[in-house]
Amino acid sequence: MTQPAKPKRRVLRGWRALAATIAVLACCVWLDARIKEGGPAGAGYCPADATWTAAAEDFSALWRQAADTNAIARVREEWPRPLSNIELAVRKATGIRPTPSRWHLWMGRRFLMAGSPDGVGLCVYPGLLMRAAHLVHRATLRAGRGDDGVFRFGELSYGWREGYLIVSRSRPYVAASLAAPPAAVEESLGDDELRVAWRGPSPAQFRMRAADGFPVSGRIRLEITERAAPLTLPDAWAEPPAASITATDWADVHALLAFIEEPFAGNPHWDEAKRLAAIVPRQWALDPLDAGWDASADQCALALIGLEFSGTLPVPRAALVLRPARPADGPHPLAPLLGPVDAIPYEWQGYPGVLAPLAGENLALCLGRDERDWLATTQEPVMAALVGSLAAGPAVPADVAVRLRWEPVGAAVEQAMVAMGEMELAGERNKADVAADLLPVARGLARLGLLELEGEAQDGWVEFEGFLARAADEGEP
Amino acid sequence: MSASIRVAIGMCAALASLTAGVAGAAVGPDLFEEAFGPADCTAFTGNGRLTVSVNQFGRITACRWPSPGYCDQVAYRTRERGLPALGVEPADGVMWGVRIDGKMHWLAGPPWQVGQSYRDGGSVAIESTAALSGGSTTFTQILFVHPERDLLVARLVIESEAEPSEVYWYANFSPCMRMIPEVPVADWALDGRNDFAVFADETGRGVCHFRPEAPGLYEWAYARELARVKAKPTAWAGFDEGVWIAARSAGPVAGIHCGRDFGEKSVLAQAEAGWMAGATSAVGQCASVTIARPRPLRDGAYEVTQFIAFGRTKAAGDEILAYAAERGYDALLAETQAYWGAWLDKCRLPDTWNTDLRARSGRCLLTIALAMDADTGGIIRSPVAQPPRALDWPRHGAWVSYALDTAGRHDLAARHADFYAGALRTKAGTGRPLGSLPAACYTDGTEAIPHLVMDAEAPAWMLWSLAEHAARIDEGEQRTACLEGLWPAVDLAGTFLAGWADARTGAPLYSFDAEALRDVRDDPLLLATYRGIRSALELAQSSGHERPEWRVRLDELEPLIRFRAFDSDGAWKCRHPLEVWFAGLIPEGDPRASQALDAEAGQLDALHGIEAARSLCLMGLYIAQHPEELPRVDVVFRRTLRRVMPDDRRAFAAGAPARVPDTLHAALCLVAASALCDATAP
Repeated sequence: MTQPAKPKRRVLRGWRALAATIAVLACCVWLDARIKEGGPAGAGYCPADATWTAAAEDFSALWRQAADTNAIARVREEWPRPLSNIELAVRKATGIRPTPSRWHLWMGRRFLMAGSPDGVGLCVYPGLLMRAAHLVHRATLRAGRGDDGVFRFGELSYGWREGYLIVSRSRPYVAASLAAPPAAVEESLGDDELRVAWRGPSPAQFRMRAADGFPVSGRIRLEITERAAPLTLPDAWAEPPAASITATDWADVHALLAFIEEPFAGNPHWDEAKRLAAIVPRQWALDPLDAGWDASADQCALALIGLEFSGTLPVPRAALVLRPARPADGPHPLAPLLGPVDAIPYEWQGYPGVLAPLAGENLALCLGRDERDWLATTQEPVMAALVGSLAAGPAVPADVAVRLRWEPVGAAVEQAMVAMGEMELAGERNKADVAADLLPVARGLARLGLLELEGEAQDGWVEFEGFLARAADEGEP
Repeated sequence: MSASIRVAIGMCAALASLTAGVAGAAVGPDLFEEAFGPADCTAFTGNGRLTVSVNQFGRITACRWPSPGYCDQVAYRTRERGLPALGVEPADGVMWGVRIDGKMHWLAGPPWQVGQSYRDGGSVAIESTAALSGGSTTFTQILFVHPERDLLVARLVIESEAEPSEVYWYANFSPCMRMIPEVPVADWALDGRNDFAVFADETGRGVCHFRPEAPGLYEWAYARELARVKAKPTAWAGFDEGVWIAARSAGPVAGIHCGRDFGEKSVLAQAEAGWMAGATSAVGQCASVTIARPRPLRDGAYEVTQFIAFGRTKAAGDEILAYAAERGYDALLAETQAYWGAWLDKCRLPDTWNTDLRARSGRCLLTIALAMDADTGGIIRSPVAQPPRALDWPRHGAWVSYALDTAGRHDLAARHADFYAGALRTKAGTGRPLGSLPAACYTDGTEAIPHLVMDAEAPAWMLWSLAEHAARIDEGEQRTACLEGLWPAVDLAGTFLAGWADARTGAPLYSFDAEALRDVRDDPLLLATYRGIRSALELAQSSGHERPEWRVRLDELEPLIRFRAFDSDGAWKCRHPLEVWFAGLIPEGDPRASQALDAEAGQLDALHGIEAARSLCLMGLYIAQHPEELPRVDVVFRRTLRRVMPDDRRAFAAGAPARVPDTLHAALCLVAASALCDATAP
């Protein structure tokens, strides 16, 4: 007995359709992969006057690996969804909640983000899906292409150049990127790294790997002293400060501080704060220091011990340590500052010094010393704790060393956020919103551990390496 | 010193520089203007809760509510004295506008030629007249605050041959409830974080600017949705308590427009372009324009009147507006005039036939009255936030208390004394010794200056004013009760002052200096400490308490002062010898006292402003006790008094420098005038 002819044809038709669909999908996947892997060499495009860039060879892989690091694991204990606000913003703008795999599907591998006076934007090399979506969007005549080649999608502006997609909330950013030469970005050494470049007065480049502790290496255009002997101050503290910079002399420390300040220059709030701050030393009329005032020092360390929050304004507790090659002797190098001030002779653990009240107990310049070092602090209790507490210190073979503990930074940020919430200074967030949205950020920040960077002077550059978020209780991540 | 330490210390100490100049100390206004921007206020009116300041053009530059000392509800910020309009953005403030020959002219700055005065003697209504060069139309703005309701009345009178068609009333209110302890910038430097929404009210003749208390993401999103759907006014009333500023025209209105206060499409830009988008609500940094139709007032004159009410809820504002509408402008003005007339009648003005002197003294007293918080008794130095002088500074407020006592207003002086007693630190903290006073307070008693600033003179001045106050109360039960009431504060402050000593030298420990912006130890501190402890001792003895250690401390300080004041021959060697007399260290009959008077008189012509007023005050106090010495200094004394004492008739005149109302200045002048009159009284 034979099968009826019609049902058999129907079944065969169904299988053919399925096979055809699979074949088409396979072709699309293959084409998508070819597109993403191909394309011109280079990271993409950004405005020629971009002040910073951040590039990745494979952003979704970087994202995935970063999420698996021990640092992010610690952060997640306090801040379970670190990217929730960004995810929400992207979803509101595009309708898609971003994940690493969705990013790869829509945006491809390459990633270039940049900041310029026109704003912040992104450049990617997407595959088939995004290009198809653009064609559909354009066909609906809602894309609104201007003469500058820039299209609109909701609040976003975007444009295409040589297969690259440039996206930003700022139309001028996109237009400038379309007209700029290819972005000059260092070549990638792996899929797990983010390459960051700063194009300010002191250019800098560094690579951060998505691995435990977030290892980092790079260079800054900065002239500092090349040392013969290792530093010993960076890790000499009995109680490590919240942050410290150690170098050969004050000029080196100041050069690094000036570099750290560069991203803030031009910000109206920062400029206003600096303008106000400049009035104070002028009115204090302290005597100027001679050039070479710290010539007797072999090493210089500036430390932020912590912040005191007993009033609305946080009061910094800071210390400056000068370690001479030979035991400290003679007048304090900073003593000439205090000519006009009614300083009070003081003594800490039998070592003579002076205390110059500037603003009560909260701000009193204390100059002292112990067996090894010259010391200056901003409060008397800081000096009392410091005298005699600094060890000889392990050798750190570097010309400059930076240390930062994320825990006190996070605690300070948390206190500031609580205060801002209470004073309605956190944008449109009130106290409850701050507690829900922002405090976990601060607590997560506090779990990052330690930032440790060491640099060496080389031909007008500082070549550095270290970790951005090493676990506090480990020797190595 | 490291740059970062400089920046960090500088940022703290820059805010610590909020200590205003010590009366008599050479603190020029330039330093504080440099730091915080110049003051833009020539006159103010109020009722002890709502306090409104204007500049010489009649533009409203500040609207503080619910106290003279905090929460300015107007977006306004000056930048630098050398800039046009002091760098104020055109969209700031509250002002009238008129269209002349197709061009919008805001009564806010040049090229208007202006004059300003208080309406008449003993009035708190400010009258600002303006005209354009060559123009035939005069615009007169009248502004006053009702004494018992938080109601601001603003009228514009236009004297013109032709009937004007419409007048614009622009309001950039920035409702604010925030007060930041130790940092008095919330209501001017942070205007970008104030404001919330504005909507046209249900009458079609008014608008409501408001901000609920502590709005969060939900409130902001809800407000934006209401604006998007052009919700009815009743929907907006659903927001919680906060600050509600309801403004309504007394006459017909051609239109109400709400919008943002910045950018090309701002409400101001639309008004200037002559095209209003007609939005009835806006959220965020917003402003409003009311286009009003003038009504005939008299022959050749027309008026437009705005009533502006302040309250915690919309209902509270509406109630005040209903009262205003029912009473009308004339009745409201009459009530205000009557209230303050009765207030002045309770005061003891200088005993003189010189009506000008009496009028100026009355103006001084009204300045003080308007600056006093009706609920707490705190008195601000000046109704300006830039520099931050809308605070109570004890070292200055002591003179204000003294002036109130001089004018017979012991009740108000007592309230002010209670305010300081409440501000005394009763728990020790870092930088906040037990028994010390904050350098300055908001008028609700909250510390207003970073506690980095340790003003050791503040409790000393407070003690002096308390002693003077107690001495003026008649002997008897009232005086006993006063002394007993003051004793805890006296004990606390006296103990602090007596213990604030450098064990090595016996001199007082440091005190923050407003000029040097750091702690110093100087002669004014030494003298103030002596005077403060002496006052504390007097109060202790009067109230039957023993404090021998205070006497010991006085005995330690006296030789230090004499060493600083006299040379080896016993002649004066200090710059202001009358200060030493004022401290009580020159015995009666000592010829050096007369020399001190002559020395002070010799410097008078070179002094201005506060310095001149302070010198006059000290000279006046001396002369009141030694009237026989008046003839030697009478001419220069009267000449200087005429020069520096606020003039009732001229808040501002073209060509004259703008003078910011100042309660310390007013108090010193009043005391000087009263002392002069007491010395010349038959």
